[in-house]
Amino acid sequence: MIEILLKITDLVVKRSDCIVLNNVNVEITSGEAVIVTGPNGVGKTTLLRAIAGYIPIVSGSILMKGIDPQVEISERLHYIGHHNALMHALSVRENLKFWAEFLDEEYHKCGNKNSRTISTDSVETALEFFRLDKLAEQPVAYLSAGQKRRAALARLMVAYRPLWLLDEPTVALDNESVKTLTSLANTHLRNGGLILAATHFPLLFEMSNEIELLWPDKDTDDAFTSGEEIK
Amino acid sequence: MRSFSILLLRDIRVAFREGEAIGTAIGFYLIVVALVPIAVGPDPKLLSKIAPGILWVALLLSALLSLKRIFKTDFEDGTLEIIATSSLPLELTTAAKSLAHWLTTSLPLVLFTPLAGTIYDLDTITCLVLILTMLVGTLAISFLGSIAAALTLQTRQGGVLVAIIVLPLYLPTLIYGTVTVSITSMPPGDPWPSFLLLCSLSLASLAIGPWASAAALRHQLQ
Repeated sequence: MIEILLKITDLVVKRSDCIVLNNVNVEITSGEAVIVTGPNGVGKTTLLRAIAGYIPIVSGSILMKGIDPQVEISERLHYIGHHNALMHALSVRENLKFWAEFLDEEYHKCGNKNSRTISTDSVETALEFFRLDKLAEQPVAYLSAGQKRRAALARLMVAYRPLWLLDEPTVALDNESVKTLTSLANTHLRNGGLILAATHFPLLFEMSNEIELLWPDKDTDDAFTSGEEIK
Repeated sequence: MRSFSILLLRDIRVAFREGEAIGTAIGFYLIVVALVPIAVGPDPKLLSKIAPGILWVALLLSALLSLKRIFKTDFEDGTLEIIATSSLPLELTTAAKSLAHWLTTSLPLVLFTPLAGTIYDLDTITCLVLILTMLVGTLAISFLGSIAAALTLQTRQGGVLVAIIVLPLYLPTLIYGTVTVSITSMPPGDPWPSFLLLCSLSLASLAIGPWASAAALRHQLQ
């Protein structure tokens, strides 16, 4: 198992002219989960989106050690955001199959029939794991909010990526599905994966630390102070 | 290149499954083309003279209607941001989506042109040349159009804005497209220079379009 380290140092991110993240430091190693908490609007999503490479950073650095340095960090992570990234006109299976083929590096490397069966297998496993096998042929448009969320989370299983960025992953999920997600996440951690999750819901991940993003301290000049680590 | 074709095939499948974009574009095209002779009057000479211009304008406007859809649905359901985390460069993503637009909207419109040509009493050669110019010219329409589609992604009523941004860019294509056809139908004159200019416009938009719309998309994804 390759040790992977995600190291975020003195990260500063601005949205329009307002500093949202000021000197955030986070370190995650293989097998570790970090839960980001904090009030609404404090910058949890911004932190995740900055790591995913959507938002340019003003200063500081986001490094990932243990992966091929030629590969961008954004290509080594799964981002589960507010939107489910499911195409409504296609069925659940078609959606997952597309992500399996499109996101899985192994699939591109092999480039033969063998890899095609691997991707089909992983789609079927994911459908079963999230109890979507009976809905597999349904167009996504007909699914309930919770079922859509499950289909979105099933994306985590169809292509392997070491870092998972989960933004409010439990929205619309019932208790049973939260348990499914927790067990999936714990398996990922045991296999040397990394998780950074922003949530208000207490998730029971193994080996998890918590980071709380805070509002600015009125006494200091800094617009925002954040990144206090609570272990 | 594998992920390029996977994305392209998915876009084509979604377009045909939804059917909305293709249906609207073809419907609009045929309505405009059918209404003009009724308004202008049944003079075959006049109709065949104005046909290239009318058909080209109708094609431009119909393609314009569907431009917003190139990125809109994928952006709204979050698919686009996940596509951005793949190994496929964003420039190739926009190229695949523009090409999908060309295949699912522009190409069907061009294929309906012979049908429209019968209303205007076009002879076979003029009709063939018209189709050829449209086949080449619509590449510019799809690839330049993707820039406007990417720029206006987050506007609520972006339809007019798309038209304002993109119509000036379409003018050279429109001019050289129609000039090629009218020179062929009314000799003397050599249609080749204007046709080659039309080709060069399309090649230039193939080269510029994906980069410009990828740059616009990077901003939209923030």
